[in-house]
Amino acid sequence: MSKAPTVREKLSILADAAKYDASCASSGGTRRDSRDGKGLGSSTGNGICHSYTPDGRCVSLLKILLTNFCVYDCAYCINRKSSNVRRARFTEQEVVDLTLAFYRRNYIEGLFLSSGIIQSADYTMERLVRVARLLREEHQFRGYIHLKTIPEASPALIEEAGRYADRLSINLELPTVVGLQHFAPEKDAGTIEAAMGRMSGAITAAAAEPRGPRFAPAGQSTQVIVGADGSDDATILDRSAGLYGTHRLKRVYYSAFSPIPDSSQALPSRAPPLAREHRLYQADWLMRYYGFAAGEILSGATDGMLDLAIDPKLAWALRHRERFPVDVNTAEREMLLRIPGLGVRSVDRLIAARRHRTLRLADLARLAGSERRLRPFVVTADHRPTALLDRSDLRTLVAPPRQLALFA
Amino acid sequence: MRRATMTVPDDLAAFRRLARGLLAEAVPPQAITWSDGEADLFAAPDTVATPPAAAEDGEGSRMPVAPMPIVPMPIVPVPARFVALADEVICHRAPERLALLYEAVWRIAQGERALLEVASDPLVHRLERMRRGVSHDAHRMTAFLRFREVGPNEFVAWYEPAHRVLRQVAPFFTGRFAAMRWAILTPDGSLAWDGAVARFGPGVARDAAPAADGLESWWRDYYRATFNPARANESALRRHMPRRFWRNLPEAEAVPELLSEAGRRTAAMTTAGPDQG
Ligand code: SF4
Repeated sequence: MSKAPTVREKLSILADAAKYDASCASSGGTRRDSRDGKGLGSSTGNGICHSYTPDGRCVSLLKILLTNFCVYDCAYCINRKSSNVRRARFTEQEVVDLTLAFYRRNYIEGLFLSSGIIQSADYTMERLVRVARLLREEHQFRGYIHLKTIPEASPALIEEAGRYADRLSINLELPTVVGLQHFAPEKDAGTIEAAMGRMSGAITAAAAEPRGPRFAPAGQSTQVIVGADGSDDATILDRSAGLYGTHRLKRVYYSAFSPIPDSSQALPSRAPPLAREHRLYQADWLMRYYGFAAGEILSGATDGMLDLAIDPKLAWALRHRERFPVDVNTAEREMLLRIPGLGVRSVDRLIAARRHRTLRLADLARLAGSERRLRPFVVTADHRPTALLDRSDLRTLVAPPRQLALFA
Repeated sequence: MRRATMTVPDDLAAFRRLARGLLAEAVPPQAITWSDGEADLFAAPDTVATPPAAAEDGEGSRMPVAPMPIVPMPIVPVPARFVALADEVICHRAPERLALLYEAVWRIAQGERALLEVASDPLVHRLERMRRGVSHDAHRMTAFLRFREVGPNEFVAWYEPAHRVLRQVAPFFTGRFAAMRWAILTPDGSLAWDGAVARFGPGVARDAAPAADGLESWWRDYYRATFNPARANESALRRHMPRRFWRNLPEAEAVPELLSEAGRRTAAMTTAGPDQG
C-alpha cells in the first residue's frame, strides 16, 4: 500500500478517473451574477470553454470524482471494484476550495462532480449534495454546478441536489438493457429509467413555477458508450430519440469506448473509430435542430450504421435524390434545412434575405460560406443543376476530400 | 476628398457624430477618406474611392460611380440594428471598418431600410463577418484570460485580444468577479476593478504581466489528467485553441509533452491487456 495521497495528488487521480465522462457543458443555467458584491461568479446561460485538451475537447468545468473507490464492478469503468487503479478520496471541503480557487482565476465555469459508490447510494449522494450546498450557501457561489445523480439515492436527496445544481445527470452507459445486464450487472435499467423520469417531472414542474423551489434549470443529460456492446447506430439513435421524447433530456453524449488501463476481459480489445462518435453527434443534431426523425436518418441505409466517410445529412440527401433540387427562393424552411451544407443559422438568414432579393448562386455562397457542396442540390435565379443529381459519381463530387484522417 | 478622422479608434459615439454630419451634407461614401487615429497608412486619399462591394461582386454595385450631386439629405433615424452592428464592428482592427459602416448607413439613408436583413448582400456579408470576428474574439477573451493572484483577494491578468474588445467584455468580468479586486492589462488599454468602480486606463507592455501564482501548476496537473491519450487530435486542438493563445495560457505548456507521449501511453493500455480480476 502506498502512502495517502496529498490533495494535489488527489486532484490528478480523481480528474483522471472522471475524464471518461464526455459532458463538460456549462450552458443553460439561469442568468445571474455577483454584482451585489457578496458572492462569486455568474452564469450567462451560454457555456464557456476555458480551454481545450490535446484532443480538442472542451474544458469548461472542474470535472472530478469525489472518490474513485467503488463497490460496483462495471466492466467498462476504470474505477470498478476489481480494477487496481490508485484510489483516493477528497473531503468535501477540499473540493469546495479547489473549485473556488480555480474559478477565481477564470480557469473554469464551475464544477462537475461525480463519484464512485461508497458504502451506499444515499451515503454517497449525501456527500455530493453537501459539496454543492457548501458552495451555494456558505460561499454564495454563482458559477455552474453539474452533479451526477445516483439512481438508487432517495428522492429527498435528489430534490436537494436539484436545488443547488444547474444540471443533473445519470449515465445510461449502455444503449440496451441487455448490454447493461452484461457489463454492469449491479445496475438496473428500470431503476435508472425511473430516476430519469422523476427528475424530468421535477425539472418541468420547477420550470413552470419560476417562484417555486429551483430544480436543475439546465435540465438533465446522459451518456452512452459507443462500441462497447454490439449496438448499431440505428439502435443508439432510437434510444436517444426515446430519451429526448420521454424524459426531455437536454443532451445525450456519445462516448466512443476507450481503452483504459487495466481493462476488463469482458470488453472488446479495440476502440471504435472516433469518427463513429462524431457521426452520432451529427445525427443527434439532425434530430434536435433539423427536424429529422430518428428512423429517417438511416432510412435506406443497409446495415444500420452511419456512413463514416460523409456526414449523415449528405448521406440522407444522396439516398433521397428525388427530393432535390430545392428552389431556395421558394422552399419551406423544413426543406431548406435538408440541403447539405446549409446550417440552421444560414437557413434563417436566407429566409430573411429572400424577402427582399431574389437569390442567386453567389448570394447563397455568401450565406452558406461556400456553394460547392450545395450546387447539385439547389435551384437559384441563375442556376439549375439539371443532370447533376443523376450522376453516379455525385458522392465523390460533394464528399469532402479525405477529411477522415482527422478522426482516424 | 473629405477626410473624416476619429481620435479614438473604437469610439462609436464619435463615429456616429461624424456620419450624421456627412449624411446631412449628402457626402457619398466614395468621397470620404476615413482615418481612425491609428497609423494612417491606409488613408491615402484615393483608396476608398472604389466601394469594396463593387470590386467583389462583379454584377456592379448599387452605388453610382460618379459622385452624387450635393443636395442636403433629410436626417433619417438609423435602425437600432445598425447601431448594434456598429457597436461591435467598430472594435475590429481592420482600417476599412469605418468606410464600410458609413457605406451601410448611407445606403440605409438612401432608402434601403431593410439592408441589414439581406445577409447575402456583399457589404452586409463583409460587415457581418467582421462582427462575428469581434464577438468571437470577445468570447475568447472571457474564456482564455487567466488571473494571477498578486495579493490577498487581488488578481491581475495580462491578455492580448485580436480586436479592441476590452470594453465589450468589461461587464462580464465586473459581473462575475465583483467581490474581488483585479486588473486586466492589454496592449491597447487596461481595466481596473476595486470592488465597486471600474476604471479604464492606458495600455501596458507585456513585461507588466504578473508572474505565475502557486495554483498554476495545479491547474496544469488537472489539464494533464483530464486528457485521454487514446483520443489525441492535434488539429482539433489547434482549431479550437489556436497557437497564438498558447503563450498566455499556463496549461498550454503541457501540450507538446502530452501529444508526444499519447501514442506510447495508448499502446501501453492496449497491450497490457486485461487484468486478472
Ligand atoms: S458505479 Fe460508477 S464508478 Fe462504480 S464501477 Fe460502475 S460506473 Fe464505475
